Amino acid sequence: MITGRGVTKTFKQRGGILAGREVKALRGVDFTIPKGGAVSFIGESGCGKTTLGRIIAGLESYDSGEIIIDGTPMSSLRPRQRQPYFRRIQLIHQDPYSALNPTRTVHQTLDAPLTLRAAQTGRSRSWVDGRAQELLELVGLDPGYVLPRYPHQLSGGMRQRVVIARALTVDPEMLVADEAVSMIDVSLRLGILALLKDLRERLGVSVLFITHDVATARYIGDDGELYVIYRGQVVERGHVETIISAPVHPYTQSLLSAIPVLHGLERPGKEPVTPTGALDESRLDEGCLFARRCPFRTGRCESEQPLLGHGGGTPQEHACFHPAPRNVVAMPVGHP
Amino acid sequence: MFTRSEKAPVTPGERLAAAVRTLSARRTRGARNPEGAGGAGGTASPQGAARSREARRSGPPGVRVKDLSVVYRTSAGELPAVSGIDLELVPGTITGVVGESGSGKSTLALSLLNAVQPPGRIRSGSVEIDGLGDVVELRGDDLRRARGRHIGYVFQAAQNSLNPLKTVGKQLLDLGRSHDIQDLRELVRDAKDLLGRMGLDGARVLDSHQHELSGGMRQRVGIMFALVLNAHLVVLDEPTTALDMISQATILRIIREVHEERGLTTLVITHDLGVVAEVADRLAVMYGGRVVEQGPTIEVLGAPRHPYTQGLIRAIPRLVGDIGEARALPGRPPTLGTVPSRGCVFRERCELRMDVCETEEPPAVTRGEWIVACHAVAARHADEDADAARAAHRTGHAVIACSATGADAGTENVARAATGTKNATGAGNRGKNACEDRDTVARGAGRSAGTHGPKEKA
Repeated sequence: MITGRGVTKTFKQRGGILAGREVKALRGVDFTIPKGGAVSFIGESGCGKTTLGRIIAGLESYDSGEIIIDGTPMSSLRPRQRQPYFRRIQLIHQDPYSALNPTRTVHQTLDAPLTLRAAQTGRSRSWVDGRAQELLELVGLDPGYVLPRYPHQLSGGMRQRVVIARALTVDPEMLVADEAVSMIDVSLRLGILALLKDLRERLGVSVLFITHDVATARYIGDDGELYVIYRGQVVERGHVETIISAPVHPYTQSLLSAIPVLHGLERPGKEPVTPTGALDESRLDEGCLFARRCPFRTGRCESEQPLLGHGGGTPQEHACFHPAPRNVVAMPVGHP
Repeated sequence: MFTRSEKAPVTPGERLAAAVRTLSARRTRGARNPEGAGGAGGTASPQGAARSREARRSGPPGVRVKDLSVVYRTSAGELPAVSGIDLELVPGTITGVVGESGSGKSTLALSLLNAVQPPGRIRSGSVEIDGLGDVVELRGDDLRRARGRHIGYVFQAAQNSLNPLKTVGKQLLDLGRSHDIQDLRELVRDAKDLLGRMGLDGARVLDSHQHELSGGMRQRVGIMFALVLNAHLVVLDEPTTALDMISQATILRIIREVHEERGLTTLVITHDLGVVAEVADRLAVMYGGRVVEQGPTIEVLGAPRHPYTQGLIRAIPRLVGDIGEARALPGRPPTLGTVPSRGCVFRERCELRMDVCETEEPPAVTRGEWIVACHAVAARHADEDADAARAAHRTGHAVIACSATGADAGTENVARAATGTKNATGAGNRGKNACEDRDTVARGAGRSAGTHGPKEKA
């Protein structure tokens, strides 16, 4: 289980005309990823979801707050001591084209971490080859075809499966999939999502899914939790289906309204919400961060900061003074 | 240390305005305005009015792509990226071309500008554009002028198509000069209007380098460049890839609005069926270098007939409904080297595969505006025609109702509105069932789904 308490991160521009400018990527985020659970972070680009994913994977430092893995606060450990903890969390990148070394065959790609793993666990050399085959079969690839090939000889979907197989070589407890399907062909996307779901169910690997496409978040599991992140803050948090069917934060509603409607198969939601402006990168931190784009803002939103909670008796947590469920999601034609 | 006020041109846009002043002074001395409408200075904008009058007069062009084949030279010989494509862009409509990577959709888009780069070449076919003739035959300066003036192109990843060293305004002036625009002030004003129309601060954007703009802003700058020379045919290659949902929705709305306001013929190339569903009047689905299905968007999405289109729609994760219904297409899309040279290109992944698919190119079955290239659909239609002939004999009813649904925006809106009505909902349902229940489709019982247009229903 991985827990975060009040994680903050600020990036400072070092050189150039913007020197000294600060970007608050995370403004005190709390999260819990249960063992074997599924959690999705959604939000626009620049909202901090990728930074949070990298912090969780141990690839980025954070300024304040605490990350607790299986009850051990990471701040109590020295960097070297943290390594075994973070090895259990593997990151799957968006771009399988650049995540694999083009000069190495799939066999070489899997061989290196497996050999290391064998040395650590005192297994024999023959285990390595067997395990490579096993992992490729697990991710739905034919080892005989894939092993001798270079990444450029594989399709995008196959490459992403190789990346997942490589992540599995170290027996991780959690996979962080950062936009893992956005560069995969549409007809193959669902296969990768199904694979992640399958790994969760069969191996008990927990999955953190980072995406801007809410619909894909549903496919990781029906017990999934959704975190909607805006400008480094969680603005809505709850069960995936609850948030999709009855979102209460205007930002979540704008995200869901923006999903293209398949006219002919679906009819648009009745009360779509459109933000009144583009992503606000200003340094004004007064009140609700979304207020300046929010069509429903009041005077209170501009001066007071809403906190995450069940205000208004909603099943999900939200950070909004005026929570109101709205019908924003497109429904299949013929759906009641 | 300079403060802002110490610099010579201060406010945003002033530096640009200064550059324009010197340039247009140089220009107007030599040549007068070709339209001759306004004075040289362009105080108000009489030429602008003249230009838009002219634009209205000329109207959106139609495009006819006939039997287009494009090949790429590789070590294994010349391989076709696009073969035998027939596609018509109806004047004033938005056509969406959807396909996966390697389907040839970008090659098709480049062919519209005759801009296929070596090792690729257009092997055969023609691209007729109203007022321009066959683009494939154009060469040299004629071709250069046609691009930009007649055909606007918005590139995939606009950040890569902008010069990182020059401000947007400087690039705009370059564009104007290379097209011998006499009145650059007018051009800058048009550009500002366009940017303002798309919700940007024109003066600030023209004074910015590309790294100072967000992805959505760059994409809008790309659209501005495509339209500023008053092109009436616009090709957008993956206009929303790499944008997140909210920016995507904004860009799609802008595309739709600008299309209608300026009277354009628009082609949108994308891998995302959602994008097409959102903006396009007509939809063409590409696979392995061929158009496998095309027709009015709502009808194709509501009741797809080609097994690939059906599989593609089923593979899209949706927000509502049973998750288990969504299924990935088996297999993977062919690449340049693996496209079968004869027979149906989709047969490897097809569930309706028959023996004839191995050897024969599927025939194009036409139903009004709907064209499907599939042996299974063709076989079904043969049965259907026989049935329909009998039915028509009995009731005296017209068989092909698809032709009743026009692709023009007006009719399309009617159709969109009609999807909400009870009858059309029923039609949509049947379409959905038809696409889910493949056996039913194969047996031909799904015919009620598509052959009747919403108009007939409503």
